[in-house]
Amino acid sequence: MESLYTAAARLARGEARAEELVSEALDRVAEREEDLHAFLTLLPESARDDAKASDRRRTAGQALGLFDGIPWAAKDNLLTEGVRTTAASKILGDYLPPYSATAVRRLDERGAVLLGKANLDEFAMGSSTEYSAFGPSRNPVDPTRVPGGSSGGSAVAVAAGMCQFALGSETGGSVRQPAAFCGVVGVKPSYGRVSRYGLIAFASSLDQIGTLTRDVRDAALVLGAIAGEDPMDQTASTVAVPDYLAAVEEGGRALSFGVPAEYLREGVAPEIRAEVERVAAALERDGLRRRDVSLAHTQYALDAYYIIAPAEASSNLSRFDGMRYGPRAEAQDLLEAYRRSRGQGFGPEVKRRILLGTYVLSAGYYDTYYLQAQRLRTLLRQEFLAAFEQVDFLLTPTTPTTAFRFGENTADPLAMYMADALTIPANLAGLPAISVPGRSSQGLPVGLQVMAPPMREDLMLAAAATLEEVAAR
Amino acid sequence: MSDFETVIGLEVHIELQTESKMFCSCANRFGDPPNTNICPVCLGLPGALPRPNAAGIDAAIRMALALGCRVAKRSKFDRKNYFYPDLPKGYQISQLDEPIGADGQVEVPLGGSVRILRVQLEEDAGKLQHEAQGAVVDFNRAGVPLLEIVSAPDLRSPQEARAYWEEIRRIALALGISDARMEEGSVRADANISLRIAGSEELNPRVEIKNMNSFRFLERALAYETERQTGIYRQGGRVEQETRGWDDPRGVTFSQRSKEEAEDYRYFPEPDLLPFAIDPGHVEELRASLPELPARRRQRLVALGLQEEQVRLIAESGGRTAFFDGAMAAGGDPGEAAKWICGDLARLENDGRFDFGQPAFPAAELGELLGAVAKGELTGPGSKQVVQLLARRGGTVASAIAELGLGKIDDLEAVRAEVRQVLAEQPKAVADLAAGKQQVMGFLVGQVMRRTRGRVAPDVASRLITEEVGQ
Repeated sequence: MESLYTAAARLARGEARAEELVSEALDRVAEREEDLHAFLTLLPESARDDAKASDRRRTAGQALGLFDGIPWAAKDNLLTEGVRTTAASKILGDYLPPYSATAVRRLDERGAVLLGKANLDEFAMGSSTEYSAFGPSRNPVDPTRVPGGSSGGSAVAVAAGMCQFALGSETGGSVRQPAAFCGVVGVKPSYGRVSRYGLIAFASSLDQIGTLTRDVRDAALVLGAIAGEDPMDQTASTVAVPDYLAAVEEGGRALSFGVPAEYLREGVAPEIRAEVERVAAALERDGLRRRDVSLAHTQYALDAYYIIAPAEASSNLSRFDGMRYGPRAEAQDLLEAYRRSRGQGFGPEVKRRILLGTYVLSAGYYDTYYLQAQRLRTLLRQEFLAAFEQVDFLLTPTTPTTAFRFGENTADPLAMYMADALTIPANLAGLPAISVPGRSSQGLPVGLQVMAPPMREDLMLAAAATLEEVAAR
Repeated sequence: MSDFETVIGLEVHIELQTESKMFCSCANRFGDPPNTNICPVCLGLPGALPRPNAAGIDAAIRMALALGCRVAKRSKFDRKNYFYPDLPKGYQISQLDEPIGADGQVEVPLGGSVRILRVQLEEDAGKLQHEAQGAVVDFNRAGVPLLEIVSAPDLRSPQEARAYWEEIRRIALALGISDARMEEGSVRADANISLRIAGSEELNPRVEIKNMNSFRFLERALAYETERQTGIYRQGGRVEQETRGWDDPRGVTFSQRSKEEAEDYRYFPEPDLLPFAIDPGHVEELRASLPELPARRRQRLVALGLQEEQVRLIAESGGRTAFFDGAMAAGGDPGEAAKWICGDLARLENDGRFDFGQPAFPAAELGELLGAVAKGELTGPGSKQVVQLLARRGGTVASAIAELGLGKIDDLEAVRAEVRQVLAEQPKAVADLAAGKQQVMGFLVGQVMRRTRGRVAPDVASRLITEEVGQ
């Protein structure tokens, strides 16, 4: 399937109509959805209606811009007004949000056509979509393997050509890791670059909405459309959004980069290490300066993450109590109502993290765990900022392994958590990071990660554009 | 047997009277139909995020300043986690270790000096109501800005605790940051109380009495608890640290939660809100704009020679104080002005026929009135009629005197003629008076007043009656 950029160009030139694009997308869904299960909710009728409306606008010379008529998918933890939003959890039931997330609204206003709500691990907690309460999605490259997660459905939808782009969300790698597993481009913006309003919170200080696209240029387009300040989210940055497309067109040949050794150590599959080295060498040949940098605190990132993220999650998920929305269990008294509603509504991974988070915030443990983890987070960020004094961007693998098989990691939560070991540092430090497909290994996609200084998505995208080109050689 | 000393600390909660709620733009208004002032933010819907109301922060800073607190240069919000149906998010946005204000002090009438530990800003919960079909929640109150003012355990009796709470409420009223309506629950208090041997510094296990919304409840609950704890110690027992409630109809406190069952609130910094700097320049602007506070008011009124009760009545209301000051500025005598304000005008206010905050006539006219009486241009009874008219319709003292025809009758012979007329109509009373029954004098003076519509000074009337009857 063509990229968003190409499709938009064809629409603009009158060579295609939105109705055709949406029809093709729906045909593709009809063909592959049964195998892949990318979606939790599909909106064929409203999508066709929206496409017709888009075509009418365009005919009348009132097209809303590049996105008008482009089919897309939203991860099902992004609120869509009047459209069922579940976060892949039974506890939300058939929840119909009364408002749309800011990012969703910005795409609506640009005329993008929402095709459906994409599958995810329940409340975005997981790395494979195996924790979706409604069954996992499958990797289009090899349906016996997981697509990664938690934004697995979004990655599958884009990789399988079911839509031009998708939004996902990240807390510890949930966009980049499935992008790497499925062979698409995934962006995790800097913390604060995209408003979180209307994103069902997992861990507020780490969460960020991200993009899944066919290439780096599309990522620049989508990010440009959703980024920017929002009065509804105090943590959304007021820093102006630069022209990302211009950055992509300029490319990263004038930049310097580093490959931190800590990201190539044990646990990282040899063929992935080899791919990173191959691409690094190719970049050097293309004139990019390489300098060695060290990020010694990386080894503690996973530990800090698994304190901070569950702590915030345990609080964020308290509102799901069966009182105001979602199913409420029959009970004799209040405590029993809470226990049953939450006990029946949440799946095992969500419960595990609520317990973990509740524990680390308990009286007497706060200083040992939460405070210590926050200190580590500060050190990690400082270390990154120091590294960015040396180089413009960092090149690492996105994941330690390629897509794993179903059930391979579900018995061992720690093994599952390792899938995010290389992506988590960017979340903790608030950096922008992108995963770009490298050369496949044994038929399975490999993700190359670029990390850049905070709020320098322009630089990250410029570097990624060059990387994309070099890696494809 | 040695005497016990009561050690009390209070946490006073005051709902702020901002236009909108603390973290969303819903109206902050009491008495609207249930669940009409709600939105995704204050309902705690998925995906919603709080955004702070600067007016709430300013009100908290002003209270902190009024209580002599140090205002933080940097502050932040924290989450206090617990489950309850009236708490939509499963946590309350509050402040843990960087409150807006800390280390203050307040002088309490008859209670001495009480240290303020902290002034913090938080959000109120919804209101749980039990109805026939079960419990229902009104979320109009959810997210209303709430100030928590925590005192040191410096209070030594239920009366002192009450006086302290009343003073905090008066300060909030003087600042205009809250309507502080007890009956609407906009002021509530939790009390911590323990006993110790008088003079010792030890602190024994304390009992927390939660959520009282009346001064009387507080005083009664603390008195009861003092007795209860005294009884336990006298019998050689131990007081358990626990949370107790006050059952007013039965007049007892009752155990709600033991120390073991105490909630662990799992506080942590609210990640949805940025820590915020408080600009010292802004704080100084707020300090400069503080109104006269009740303690200062009281000192001033006492210095003017007013009686204790008058000081209390006038100082507790900004409107009354302003009215008093207005009358003073127009040259009125303080004592006389206070009599009017605490007498006729206070009664009119109680009947809902006068509002010191928005008076029907300017305070300067009270000064005028006092002047007219002092100069003998108006009699006491006449002045009452003037005030009634002014309170009803406004206007000036001069115009009211003219309209009512109340100019004093100064011509003694004219007064004597009126007196004779009355005496002629009341032969029995005259006979009684002549027989020495002085009680009828008041009646006869009253008759003269009636005939002249109060235009004769009562002492003059009385003197002339005596003369006439004596002849």
